[in-house]
Amino acid sequence: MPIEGLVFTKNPVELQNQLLMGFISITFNIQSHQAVLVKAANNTSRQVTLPEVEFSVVGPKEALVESLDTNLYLIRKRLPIAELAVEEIIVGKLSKTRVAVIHIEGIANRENVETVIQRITDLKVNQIIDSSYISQMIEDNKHSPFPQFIDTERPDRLAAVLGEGKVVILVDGAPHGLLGPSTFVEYFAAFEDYFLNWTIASFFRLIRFFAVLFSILVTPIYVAVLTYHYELIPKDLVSTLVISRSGIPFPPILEALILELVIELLREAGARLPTKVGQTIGIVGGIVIGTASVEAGLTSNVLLILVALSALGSFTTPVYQMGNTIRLIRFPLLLMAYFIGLIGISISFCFLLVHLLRLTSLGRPFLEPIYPPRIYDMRDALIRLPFFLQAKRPIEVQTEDTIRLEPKEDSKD
Amino acid sequence: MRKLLPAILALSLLCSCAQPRVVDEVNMSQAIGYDLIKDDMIEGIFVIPIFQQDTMGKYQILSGKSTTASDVQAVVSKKADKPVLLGQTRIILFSEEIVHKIGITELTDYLYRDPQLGNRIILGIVEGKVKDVVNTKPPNSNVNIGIFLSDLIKQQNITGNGPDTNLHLFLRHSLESGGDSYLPIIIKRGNHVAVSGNALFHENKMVSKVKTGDMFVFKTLVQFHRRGIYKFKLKDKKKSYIVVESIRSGSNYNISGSESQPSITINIKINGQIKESMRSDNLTNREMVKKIEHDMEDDLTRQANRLIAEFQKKNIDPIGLKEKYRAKNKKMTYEQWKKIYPTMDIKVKTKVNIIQTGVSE
Repeated sequence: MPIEGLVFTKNPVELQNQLLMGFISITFNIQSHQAVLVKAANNTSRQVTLPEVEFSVVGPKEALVESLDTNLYLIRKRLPIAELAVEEIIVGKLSKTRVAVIHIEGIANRENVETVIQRITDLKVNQIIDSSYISQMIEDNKHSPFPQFIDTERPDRLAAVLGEGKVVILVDGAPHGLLGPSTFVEYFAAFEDYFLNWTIASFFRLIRFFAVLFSILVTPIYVAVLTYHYELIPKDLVSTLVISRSGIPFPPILEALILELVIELLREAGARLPTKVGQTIGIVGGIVIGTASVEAGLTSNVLLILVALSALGSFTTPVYQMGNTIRLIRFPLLLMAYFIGLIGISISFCFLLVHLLRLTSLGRPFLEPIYPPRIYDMRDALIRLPFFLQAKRPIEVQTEDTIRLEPKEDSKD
Repeated sequence: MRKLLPAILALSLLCSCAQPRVVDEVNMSQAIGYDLIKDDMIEGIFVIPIFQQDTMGKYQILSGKSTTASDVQAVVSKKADKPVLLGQTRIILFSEEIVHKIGITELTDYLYRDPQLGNRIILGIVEGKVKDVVNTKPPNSNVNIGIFLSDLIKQQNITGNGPDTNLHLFLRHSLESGGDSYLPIIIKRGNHVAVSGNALFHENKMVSKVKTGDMFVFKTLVQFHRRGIYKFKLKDKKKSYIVVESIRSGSNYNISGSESQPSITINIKINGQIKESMRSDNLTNREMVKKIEHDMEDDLTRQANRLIAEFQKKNIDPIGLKEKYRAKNKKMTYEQWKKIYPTMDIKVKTKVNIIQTGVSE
């Protein structure tokens, strides 16, 4: 009978550890002080299913599951090479969680790999429940609202970024993998972009960037313009805005805050409720609260449209964590817009920009390729150029082997 | 971070003193008119839109009297439920009389200083009383008289023969030494208002006018333009009318001669198409087109010469020859210019090029 994972040990501590992980210890002879450990753990885990968070219409439809071994298999089957290196670290005094750091030898920068391994080894925590614990604990700036590791449930995406020279972290019990170093623009690139023609993919990306800017700025600008800068309103829009505002008892800031909070409430309620009930929340929120508050004269219908659109804009972000960030940073901007108008928006935006400029992911600049400007990396940033134009791996990762597309031999004619 | 946080908090506390001007809590004037009553009393007339559901173009007219333009605003605010603010103003009208008595620089000083007023608002001179113009009902009842007038002047500048005008352009000309600038004139005829020529300014006062018929030539001398329309008579027995629409026209200036006796050559170039020909001749005939070009050149040169002679006689320089000359001779002072300008040798050369004769034939 073939038995996998046979371990011979003399170490009583290891014996104890492995027994607790579901191994059977067999001792043949008391004098030899040696035991054979046979893996007999009943690995009950979920079947590999469809990705739900990062669903894409085209492309592979496998998602990671809670078992590290299955996840490793899902990656290894896409990269069946000897260079795929997996380093396993046990973290957590209580949970003894297996954390795997994966990279490709000869491509990934050693420095990145060492940084990740060292930061994980240095963790002195009791429990690791999910990969998000790891990402929060080993981030460069732990106070930043911006995530610095991309969180993905797609094994194909993990395999793709390994090929780019990035480092992947998998955690046993977590159906999401982490990848780093990451850049700001990567959070707005859906993995589906690579399955579509580059013109279409670039268009979708630009739309997403526009949606995010719109989502952050539109309500603050509404508040600033209506409170301070009435002279900026085009003459054909004045009557629309004033009529929609007339009879509303609140100043623009309160009106905007109320609506923004309503949207956040709806989102939160929808997230906490089971799927079936969640759908009714959407109807209740959209139809009842929206139209009723306009009819009751509590909010202006122009603002209702803007807030709804900006919420929609924030949901276009492919990475869930970044979507949350986008929704949060709107509020300080809103308050500053109320305090000092457009100057306030400019100041807050400068703060935001400075923060992003200072932010790093595994020591690599977060705002790259915009700053520091790296023209080559622009090919897969705001837009995505075709694959044959991306012959080199991203400079940001500082890979050891930079060429990923061998030049054609008959390229001379 | 510990030091930064109180700073940020303090910022918001300190800045909360900014004066809010919420859109529905102010009266936004969309047009302002200034009339002179008695010797130095100014009457300011403010057109303020009233925004209501389902009705468009409702407005109220408030007026107040005082001795300065900014004080008029304060007086008017006393008569209204909400403060009257100028930020949405699109057009400002002055009567000919007030410009004559007080001076345009003094009147525009307040507009120039107020940051709420954009540089793209339109200034206009009214022949007669501003009050009469402002009280006219616009033929399009969807807009108020202020928007109507500003749209009227804007579309005339884009599609017609009016030279581009706004506060910025006006100040640029009028703050130069000499203060030679121009503004559109609005007059009331019967029940409607219309643009009629340009008012010319010199040293703070309105000194002359460009008639409607001369506007095309004037616009060509002042700027490059598209879509202006020029009508003239052919010089033959039938004297039939030809209408030419400009496609791209403008003029170049060449300065030659000595410092004491400079001469300026103005090269007018018209690229146009025939819009209408009141004559049955076939225009595919190249000879005929040549004749039209030639006659139009003659006609334009004559008109331009007449205009410039008139300017020289009055010693005004609305087409900005002084600045063109100064580009060649930086030592020139305004006094010198005043001396040499009336007798300066100014030649006009015109080149008309008919590109298109239309779809017929």
